Amino acid sequence: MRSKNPSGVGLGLRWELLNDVLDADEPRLAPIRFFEVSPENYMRRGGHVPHSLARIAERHSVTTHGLMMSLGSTDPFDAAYFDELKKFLGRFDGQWHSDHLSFSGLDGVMLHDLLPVPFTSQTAQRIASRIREASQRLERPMAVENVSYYATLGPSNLTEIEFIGEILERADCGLLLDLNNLDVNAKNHRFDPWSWLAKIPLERVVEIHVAGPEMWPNGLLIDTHGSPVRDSVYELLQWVIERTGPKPVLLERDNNVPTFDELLGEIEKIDAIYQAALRVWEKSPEAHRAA
Amino acid sequence: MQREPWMDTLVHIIRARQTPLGPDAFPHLLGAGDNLGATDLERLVLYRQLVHGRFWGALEVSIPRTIARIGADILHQDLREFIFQRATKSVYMRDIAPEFLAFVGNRWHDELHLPEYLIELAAHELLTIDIAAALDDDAKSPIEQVELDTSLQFLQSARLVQYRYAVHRLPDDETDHSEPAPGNWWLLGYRDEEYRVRFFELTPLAAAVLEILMQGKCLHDAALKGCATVGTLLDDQALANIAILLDDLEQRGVFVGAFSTKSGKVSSE
Repeated sequence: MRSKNPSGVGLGLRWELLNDVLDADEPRLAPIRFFEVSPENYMRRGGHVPHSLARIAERHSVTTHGLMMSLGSTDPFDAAYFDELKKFLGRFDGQWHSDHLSFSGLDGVMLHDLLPVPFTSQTAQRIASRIREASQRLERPMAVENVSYYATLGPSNLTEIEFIGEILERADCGLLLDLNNLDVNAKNHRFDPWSWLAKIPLERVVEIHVAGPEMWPNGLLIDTHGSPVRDSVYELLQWVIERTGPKPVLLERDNNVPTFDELLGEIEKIDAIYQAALRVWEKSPEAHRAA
Repeated sequence: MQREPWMDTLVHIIRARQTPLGPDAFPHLLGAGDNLGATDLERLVLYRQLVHGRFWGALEVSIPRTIARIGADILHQDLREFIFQRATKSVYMRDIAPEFLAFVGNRWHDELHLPEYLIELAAHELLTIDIAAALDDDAKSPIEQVELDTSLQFLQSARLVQYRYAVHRLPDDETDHSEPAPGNWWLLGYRDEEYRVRFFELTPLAAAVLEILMQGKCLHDAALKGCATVGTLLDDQALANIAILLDDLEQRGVFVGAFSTKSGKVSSE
């Protein structure tokens, strides 16, 4: 089951799931092609949690997806954090590390959320430069995730797509395409996700995330990873895989976490769509393939 | 490095002591030509809700019994003040609760006149997490002989604490509001080989001896200073009690090694 370049459907590995995974026999885990962890939840600690993760990593591919690199910030990178992160990443097979196109704090204060950045050339250049620096510090490629945003931060001179495209080009990095974030943004900001997808450089996509949001009383969809994947996200996933071919597709579930069996059922549903899309990709003319 | 002022505006809205009610609440943050309508403000304030929710979540998983006793209203107020004045500099969410507790300090008792034991209950809840997550030890070296010049190495998870209330005896049940007994309670906490957090109560002499031993001093110094601390003669009875203590700790696996302070060699070699 271990592969340095996993493809197929994976599961975000929260602490609450560690025992379920360790207790499950291999056939039951067969639909899960890889697990993904957020290093900040596992780093700088000992005991049951890292021990369980190490046991899982002996048998399964583990990829890493960070939360707190704060690529959009103007604060200098925290050397201790990067040292610890580099050590942590060295324990797993992942070929890249990913984080978000957002900021998490300013002037040394960390706010532990994925805060939006202004869609400007100035910000794009800064983030691209920081992605390159992060990649050098970690001695591995970086990928960046498009985030959910509930407000555009100040006047923008770029669209989100232009903004992401400029960062990817300048940093020469991968894109972690979060289709739930796209779906949430499209609903909250009333734009067409298909036209957004058509303009995104799919050849940069190294991984895909899917999840489900929750509707808040203010009528906005909030990216809580607290509900099953929406049908609209399944449609986006199918469209993307038909054009990219095999990619790692991760199910994220962080709130209202159902039973492990229910999660496995959702993974099987995602996998069915993934496999159907792959069959289309395999039959499609080379010219229509994005990657 | 230059940055867009709107990033500062967002951080200001998130950290402000009071929820901004309108764009007029922070005109000094807006540049010439900046417009901020009610919808924009509502959406920026949403981030305030999200961040405060995350910080609150960090408290809920760390000190649930303390929250149940104090009540969410008071703690939300304290949390708003914490985020306004300090927030955190750590990338680890698990650092939020200990930093919060250090921030509120004795305010719960001195200003709010809450029961004195609550700060110790919160500290005990955090200690349990701290021990569970303490860094792992390298391989243990068997201890065959402990001499007076022996210095003992403890598990990295070992913690010696003193409480004025028996908060460690309170039930885990969050609905329980019984009061802990006052007293002078010494505890040794550690994580066993099956990753369970264990606590056991110590006599004043045992605590005094362990305190010296955990500083890396040899058994001779620990016994001598420990007895002096509690005003006990270092006689055969005291030595026997110390021997029983060390044997108990060895059985529990609290030691990871020992070395002679004279030779510097591991005692088993």
